[in-house]
Order: sequence, then C-alpha cells, then structure tokens
Amino acid sequence: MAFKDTAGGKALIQNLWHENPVFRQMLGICSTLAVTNLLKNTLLMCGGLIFTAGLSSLTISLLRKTIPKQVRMMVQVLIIAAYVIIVDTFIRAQFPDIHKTIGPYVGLIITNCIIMGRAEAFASKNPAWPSLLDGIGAGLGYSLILVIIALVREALGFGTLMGIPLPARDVWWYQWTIMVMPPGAFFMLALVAWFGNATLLKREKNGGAK
Amino acid sequence: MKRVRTVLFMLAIAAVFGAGVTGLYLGSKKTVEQNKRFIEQKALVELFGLGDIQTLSKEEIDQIVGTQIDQSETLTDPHNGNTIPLLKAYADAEQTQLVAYGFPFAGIGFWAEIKGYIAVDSTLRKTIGLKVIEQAETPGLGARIEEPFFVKPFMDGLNITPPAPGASYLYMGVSGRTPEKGTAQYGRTFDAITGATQTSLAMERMLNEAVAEFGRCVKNRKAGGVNR
Repeated sequence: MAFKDTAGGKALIQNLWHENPVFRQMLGICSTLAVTNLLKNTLLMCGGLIFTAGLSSLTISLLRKTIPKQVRMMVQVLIIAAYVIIVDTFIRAQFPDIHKTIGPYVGLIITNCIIMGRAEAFASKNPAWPSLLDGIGAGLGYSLILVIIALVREALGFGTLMGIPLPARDVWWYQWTIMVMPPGAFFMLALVAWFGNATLLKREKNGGAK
Repeated sequence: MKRVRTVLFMLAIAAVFGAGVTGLYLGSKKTVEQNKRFIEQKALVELFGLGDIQTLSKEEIDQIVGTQIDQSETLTDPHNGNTIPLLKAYADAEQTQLVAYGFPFAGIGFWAEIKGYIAVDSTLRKTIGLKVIEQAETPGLGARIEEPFFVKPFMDGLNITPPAPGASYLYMGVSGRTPEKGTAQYGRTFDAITGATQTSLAMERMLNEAVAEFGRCVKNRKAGGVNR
C-alpha cells in the first residue's frame, strides 16, 4: 500500500491542503495574525507548533483508552501544556536571543485551536502512528500558510527577508508599514483563504478532488 | 468508584507531566541563568562601546565587564529614598580613564515590563547609548526598540541637562523631522516607532522618569547626600 493510502499518510496529506487548518478550518488564526510580520519568528513558531501538535497527538492517542471520557479535554490541555513548556524551556536555554523575540508567543501555542482540534477530532480516536502523522500534517499545513503570508508581509512591510535587506531596498521600495501591522495580516489571510478555497472549489467542480 | 478512578487518573497524569516539566526546568535552570547573565554582560559592553560583541568571546566579555565596569556604587534619590546602581565604564582595565556613566531604567511597556540601561558621557550632559535588556513588545513593531535606528539618537547624544520648568528631558518625535532650534524638543528628541505608538509613549515616559531620578541622585551625591 502506498504511503498516501495509509491512514497516517492520508491524514498528513489532507492537512497540508484539502483540510488545511488555517484556510479551510479557520483554526490557529490568532498566531497567524500575530507572528507573520517576520519570517524568522514565523519559522520558529511553526517549529514549536509542529513539535507540540505531533507529540501531543501521539501521547493522547497512546492514552486514549485509559483517559476517562468526562475529563478528556482537561487531560489534553495538560499534555499540550507540558509539551509547550518543553519547547519554551528548550528555546530559553539554547537560543536565548531568539527567546527574547518570540517568547511571548511560545506560551500561546497552548491555546492554539489546531492542536486541541486535532487531539479531539483525530488522536483521541485513532492509533499512535496515524495520530503522530496527523499532528505533524496539521503543523505543516499551518506552517505552509504562515510562511506564505510572512514572505509577503516582511518583504512589503520591511523590504527584508529573514532580516536581510532585499537588493537595493532603499532605492526602489517604499516600505508599506501597514503590512507589518495587524490590518496587513488580515488582508493577507483573506487573500490566501480566498485563493486556497477558490482553487479547491474549482477542482471539485472539475471533479479533480475527492 | 468511577469518580474515584477519574480523580486518581488526573492526579497520576498531573504528577507524571508535572514531574517531567519540573525536572526539565531544574535541569536547565543553571544554563538559563548563565544565559541571562551573559545577555546582560553583552548589553553593558555594547552600551559603553567597550568592544565588538560579535567578535569577542564569552570569556573576553566577562573579563571586560569585570575589569572595566565598576558596579560597586549606588545612588540615593532624596525625593523618594529609592536607590539606583551607578555604573562607571573605563577605557582600561586599571580604571584610570573614565569613559561614561550608566544607570538602569524600567517601566511597563505595551505588553510587559521593559528594562534596560542608559549611558551618559562623563560630563553628565549627553546620552551616549541606550540598551534594552528585557522586553516582550510586539515582534516587528514595539520590539524594534532594540534596533539600531531607535538607539541611534541616544548614541549620537541627546541632551539630558535639566529642562525648562514644565518641559521634559526627552521627547518622542516623528521620523525624519528634526525639531527647530530654540524649541524645548531640540536636541532631546528620539524617533517613535511607526505602528507601535504605545510602546514609544511608554519608552518616553520611563526614560524621562529614569533621567529625572538620575539627575536628583547626582545632585544629592554632589551635595554630600548618603550613597552606598
């Protein structure tokens, strides 16, 4: 059986585009708006989210038969919080300069609806391996959209990429400050959601997507 | 019975994950504290221009801070009894050639507390640097208080002599516009950050408070007030 036909493979691939958490399910919007004005911050946030989503889904799946139904959401939050603290402590110890920049947002991974959503919708009902891939897929799908938005926002707003000035920035480009402010994030998110959904709808109409 | 099992399960899982997280915290505590100390040391070397922090090693930075920056004196504000540390930076390890003085500033920014240091020349009339060592402002916006463009006016020298009654020591201005000579803002203005007005206003407020307090402390010291 090909990887894409396995439960885990399907979960991973679906989360990347067809069931993308950001533009299809409108999850994780807060951090999408908050961190995408700089690509470096975005990549770090994405790394933290992929790690947390993957491992919390794996852990919740492994414990799914033991967790009492009435407290399952409390347990899920506790597990997610533990992994977020691990990410925060790791960055604080190993990359102190970077922690200074994105520290406030790392803690917010706990409240990211994607992780809780995947834990409740998939990991609490499926075996460990597909759950791990589902969590990673959701993280990658989220990251894909965030990186696209960050590329545009940083380039237009600061005239830089990863903090490096684009060629002859000061000669040809007047920086659009609005792109690094919250309205810029809303414009970009709306455009990406429009493009993504329109593409999928077009494919569905043509019978290309299942 | 079911309820007891649920409670026991919650206790067990909280204990397991709590222990794991606590262990990780304790295991990394020393490294985190060392990092914090190193960040502060780097900030001081950069603040007083005592070396290039990009090329200096950790040990060299530690040595410069230990030998060229005297942190032994504190000043007392006669107005409220607060004490502030007085940093004295020297060009040499023998501490014969005074380069500048430094003092801390702190206050609430848009999201959380901002802490840092201001450096002033040996005549106590002009700033020669500003360094933020702790802040949690919005990345890309308020967090730009650490960037060179924001710090530059302080390095170029802002006037911190006592202002006219009712005027401020420092003013937040508009990028690209220089205040006219003769106005209260002339020589005392730093650029605000576009899109981060609240952070800029908070910086203006806390820097004014810090400079005013430093001024009172120095006056008290000159008058022979109690210092440690």
